[in-house]
Amino acid sequence: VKRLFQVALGILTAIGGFVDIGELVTGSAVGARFQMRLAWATLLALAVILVFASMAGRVATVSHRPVFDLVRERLGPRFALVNLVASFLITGATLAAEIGGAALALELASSLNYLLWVPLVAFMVWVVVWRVDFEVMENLFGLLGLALVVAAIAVWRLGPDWGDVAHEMLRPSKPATESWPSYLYYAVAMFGAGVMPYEVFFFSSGAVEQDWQREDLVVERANVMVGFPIGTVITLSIMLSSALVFAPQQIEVSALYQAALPSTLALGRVGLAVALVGFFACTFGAALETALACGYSVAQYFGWAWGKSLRPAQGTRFHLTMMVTIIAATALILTSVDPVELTELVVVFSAAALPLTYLPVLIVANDPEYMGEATNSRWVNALGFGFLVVLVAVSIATIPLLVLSKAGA
Amino acid sequence: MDRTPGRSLFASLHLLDRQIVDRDGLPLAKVDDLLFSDPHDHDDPDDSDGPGPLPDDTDDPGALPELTALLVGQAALAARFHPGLARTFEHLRRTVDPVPEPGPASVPVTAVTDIGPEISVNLRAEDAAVSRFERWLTQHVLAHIPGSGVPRSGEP
Repeated sequence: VKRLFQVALGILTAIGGFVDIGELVTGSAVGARFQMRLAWATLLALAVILVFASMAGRVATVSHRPVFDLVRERLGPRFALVNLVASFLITGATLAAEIGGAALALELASSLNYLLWVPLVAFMVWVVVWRVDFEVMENLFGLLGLALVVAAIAVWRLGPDWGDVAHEMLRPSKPATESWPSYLYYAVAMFGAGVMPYEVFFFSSGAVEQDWQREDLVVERANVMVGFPIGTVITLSIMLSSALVFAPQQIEVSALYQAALPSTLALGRVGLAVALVGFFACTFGAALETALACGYSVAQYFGWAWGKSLRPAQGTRFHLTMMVTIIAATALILTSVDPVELTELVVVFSAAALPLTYLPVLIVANDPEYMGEATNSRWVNALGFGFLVVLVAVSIATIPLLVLSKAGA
Repeated sequence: MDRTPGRSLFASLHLLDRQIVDRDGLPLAKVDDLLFSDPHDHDDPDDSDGPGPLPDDTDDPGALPELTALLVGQAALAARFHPGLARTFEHLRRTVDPVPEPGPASVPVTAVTDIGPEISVNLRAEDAAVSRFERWLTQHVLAHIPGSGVPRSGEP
């Protein structure tokens, strides 16, 4: 059991990070529309996040410097400020979408309109970041989020033709009815939903919060290697269950309740209940992560004291930043902007913003002054620089694809 | 400070934009700018008591400026972006903290104990002059939020 709790940071980062409102919405929509023909985008996201999070976690463990510290040190204050503003806006919008998602999960469970739940969810998010111990938080939401494994059980009960699934996954092709821009646009969305910058802000700052030392590098690696693959299995299960239920009827997925439908069909009321617990845990967990990531990134840019392990009075500006962010995100979602549409937009911009934070981490992971002996090995660098090319290409392609595909319409 | 002979530091690479931590390892501020003394400026306190023979090196035309302080805070950072912006932040800082000395908050270079991935100083965040604004916020804003654990200003 102790070992299970040691990887809790990785599981929380993955559930409520890798798997969050982005996966629930985009995964279901993509499954219904493309079946498993875009599973490769999630697998690519897994590969990138494994390299990115393990580098950032290793840098944080060895040098105690989390991501935004490095961004400013390596890119200078001007470029880092542009970076901060972009990351902050995307992460703040994600926070709004996650609060909306958690409120939607409560709406499904209670049939009270989600807008009534929004203030309560936002208040709970604030209470947890304000007062609850970091380890209690990651253990509770990491483990509750594992309820999403229900999606995998649903897939097994729905009994797909595994030959077809394997064919779609291994030899992906664009459906004849879809245009190239919309196929690629959804690939970017699926990729962006997996690798969102806040996951890495949260994971690397969490490593510093937990005071990981050089001898904890094994724990750090285990966190990455356990958490994100679990997240990927869940994501692919959501996609596949959606493909099995909606694709044959050509139903378009545009609401969160549809993501819970496959579990309900396969496993009845219990399936629905467990799915809703999982939805709430992963969106609420992600709301915590995004709120903290906003505080972390601003505090680290300006050099303020930060951390949940400090008393609030020791990190006044850090806590006030998070409070203002939570209020602003709540106000955004209370304008009754559709959380699902907001999510669809946020995942795409997340993908576009990735090189901004990826590059400084990659540079510092190779700097012996920070890392001593623990610099990147040659094959990590080969992957790391390869993925940098991928990220830059995605980033450049995002806006043209958004326009050409009319946001995937 | 590591004064190993032969170890040279590049101000912009090893000092600027690095994290400063206090003696307990808590983040204190970023090095937002650097303050150098002018080697040709004779206006230091030592020769204020009348004309006298100046030390030879101060008249050396090749004398180098010496680092005297690390400047911190938004006012110091803003000065690197735009002078007008710096004045705005300076003004803001003065409204909450009417400090007598002009210019942005600073950490004297004599307080620095180590230069590595982070810069350690032998000050404590709780009473360092550079964290006055944080303390002001703690007392005037944070203290009013339930559960902050801060006694409200005025109370013991």
